[in-house]
Amino acid sequence: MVAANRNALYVWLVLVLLSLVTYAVGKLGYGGISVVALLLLSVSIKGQLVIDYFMGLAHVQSRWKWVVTVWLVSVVLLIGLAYWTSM
Amino acid sequence: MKNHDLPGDFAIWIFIFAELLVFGVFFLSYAFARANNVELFDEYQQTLDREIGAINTIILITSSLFVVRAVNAIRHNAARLCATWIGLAVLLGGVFVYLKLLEFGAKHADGITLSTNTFYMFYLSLTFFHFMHVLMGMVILAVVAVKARQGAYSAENHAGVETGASYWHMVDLVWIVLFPLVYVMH
Repeated sequence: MVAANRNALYVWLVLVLLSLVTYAVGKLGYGGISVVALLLLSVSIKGQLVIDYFMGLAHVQSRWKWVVTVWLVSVVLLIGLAYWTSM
Repeated sequence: MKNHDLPGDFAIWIFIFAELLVFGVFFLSYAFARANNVELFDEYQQTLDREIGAINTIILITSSLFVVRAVNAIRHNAARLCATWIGLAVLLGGVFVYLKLLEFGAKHADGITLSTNTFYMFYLSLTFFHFMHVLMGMVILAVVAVKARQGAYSAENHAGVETGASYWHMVDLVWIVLFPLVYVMH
């Protein structure tokens, strides 16, 4: 239990740090396609960490687990496409 | 060691997949609507309370951590500890709800409604839709916490805890996309 809780704490720390960076980007008013790309990369990392270590799907063999990852990747890529076409 | 099944009841995963699909369509509608109204979206995005949005992100992530600890606790037969962690997660959910109501209240006081403009239509409907899922998640977790305290779960039988946990993590996952998309990206 101790090791599992420690790993979850490390994941939480990364999630908090990336969220604070996202907030700072907004506070400083940074924009543009490269900033959007970095924010979407951050969303991908945070989302996959939640999927793998909070939902616990990293330790699951079922093919169904890929539905969540495919959802995350599809949403991130299509949001990126929408922003890219508007620049 | 790998498990063959998804955590919790498989039915909740069908529900989670459906919810993710709906949120995904919502997010893409927002992004492509913005592509046709860039100036309007960028202008009104600046009126949002980014501080509350960021604090709520930390709150949801932390409540998710508490739920992970609850699942780890019940896997080691610590039912009361499991109930305590879930209770704390529900408490943080309550803080999220309180802050969101403050945010909605401020917008209402400014006379902002769904029909004010396209940006606010998306902002209000997306965040309110997510807000309703937070409430639903809190109800599910509260029921799980009560049952855990009553001794309904054990190391061998805790699908109910994993089911509630999976739903709560989905609510967290959706917010992780929603916050940068609606409050930050331009």
